Amino acid sequence: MIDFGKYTWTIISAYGGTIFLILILVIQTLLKSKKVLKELIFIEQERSIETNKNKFD
Amino acid sequence: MNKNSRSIWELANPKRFVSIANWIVPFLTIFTILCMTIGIFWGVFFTPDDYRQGSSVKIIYIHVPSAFLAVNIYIMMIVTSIIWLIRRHHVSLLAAKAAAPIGLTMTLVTILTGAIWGKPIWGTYWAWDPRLTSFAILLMFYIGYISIWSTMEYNEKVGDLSALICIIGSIFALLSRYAVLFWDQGLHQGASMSLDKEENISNVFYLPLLFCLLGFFSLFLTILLIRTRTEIRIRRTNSLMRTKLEK
Repeated sequence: MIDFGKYTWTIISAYGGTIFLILILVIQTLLKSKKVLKELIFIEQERSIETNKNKFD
Repeated sequence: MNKNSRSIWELANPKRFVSIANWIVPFLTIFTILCMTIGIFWGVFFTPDDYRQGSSVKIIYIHVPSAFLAVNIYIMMIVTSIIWLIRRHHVSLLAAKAAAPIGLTMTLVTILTGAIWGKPIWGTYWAWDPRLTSFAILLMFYIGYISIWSTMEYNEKVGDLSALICIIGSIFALLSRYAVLFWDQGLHQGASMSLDKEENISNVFYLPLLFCLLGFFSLFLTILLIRTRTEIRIRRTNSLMRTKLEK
């Protein structure tokens, strides 16, 4: 059990709050990065299909 | 142009930046996890209590690194904004844009941990002390900077405006850093870390704090690289979409 005397809840709430804020930032960063990469790959694929089509036409 | 100066500005090439970021991010992630785990466990569980503050001193392992980053991220944003205004490198502008939410989070962490610590030690969550006030204003500048980007679409004019806001806010970033040296009337104590051995905190606290600082800095670099890479990809996606629509 974590016990820091009378400051136990002070320390737990400070560390808990920090972990919460940093986790939100990390999760948002990773989700946005994944979403944007998916969109870019999709558009680049579409573009290469169109280019190939024009080549054969 | 000599070889060294060319290597610095190579990062201004978005393609080169993305490939370097792809290579560095996994190593930085491992380094961040290692440093933060060592620093926080060492600091929280294996250091003694302070003779005046008791165990509440253990908050410095997150409060000091986050405050250090909150100010220095803003300074980094000023530098990249100036580079944008002078050399018009889009990657430097995108890096400033990507750094702002990290700076905002670090400022929030600093204010939150400071307030939680302040209640039992100072007897209040908040005081209009020079350092606390300058941090509150710094927080407003971060929010303002992010709002500019979120309300308008990416273009050079918005870039100039955001760079200008960033430069105006530099006064408060510097005040946040040096407020404890300018004014003595505040509640906030002097800097915890100093090059002067007399003023620096004891080695028992200093070494784990160094690990935490390294960990937080590495966390910042990791998130910054990922976010800048994402911004570059968004710009590429938008330009491809525009080309497609024009056809």
